[in-house]
Amino acid sequence: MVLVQEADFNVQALYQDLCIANDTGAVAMFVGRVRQFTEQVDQDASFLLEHYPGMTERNIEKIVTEAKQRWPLLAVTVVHRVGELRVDDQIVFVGVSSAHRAEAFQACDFIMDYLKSRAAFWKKETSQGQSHWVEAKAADEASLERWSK
Amino acid sequence: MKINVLFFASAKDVFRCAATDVVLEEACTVLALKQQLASQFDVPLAEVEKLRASIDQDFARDEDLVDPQQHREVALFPPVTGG
Repeated sequence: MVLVQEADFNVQALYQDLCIANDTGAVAMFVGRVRQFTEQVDQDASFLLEHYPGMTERNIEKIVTEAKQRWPLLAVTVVHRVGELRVDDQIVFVGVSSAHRAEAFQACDFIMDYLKSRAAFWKKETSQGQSHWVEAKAADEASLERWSK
Repeated sequence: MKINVLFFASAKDVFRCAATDVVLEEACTVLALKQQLASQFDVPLAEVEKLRASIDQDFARDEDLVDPQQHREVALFPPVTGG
């Protein structure tokens, strides 16, 4: 399941959905959150996540398909929020279920790595009336090399 | 043939709009389309060249061809920062 939405998500409910198959022996989950991105606490600081409707979902589906080809997975759920978010809000959920833990951990890590660099999302930070688009990190791109066959 | 060009994130600031239409008589590379848009919008080419692109919602490289007979939509945007 791939969802791109403004609404928050409930980790417990998403976890339950990942456990439906009887042969589920492992569930690995990752939650990304908005951390404090200003040096000092700013109650009005906000964070805008823009996406490319249609393409973003296709990008994520492709990443999930690739993960399913690499590991024997039972279920995969990706929920990515868009719109205006604030410090402490949840941004992204990646959940993977499988028979054994190794593939669940690896697939969750793989999907998250590719989401960073191969899905059409852009972040803009606003604090004290100043906004700027967050620049992509070279480390995120470099991290993908771990997965080259 | 008309191609719809979309701008996302900082590309919207560069072009000061979210979308435009470009008429292409024949296929051209993404780079050539960027050069045409830079000239049309009077934007420094260096600003446009560093943007990434997609053709019909698939990531594309500068050397990829935009073919008005096949394609409907091109987007320009900075490197993605999701997750």
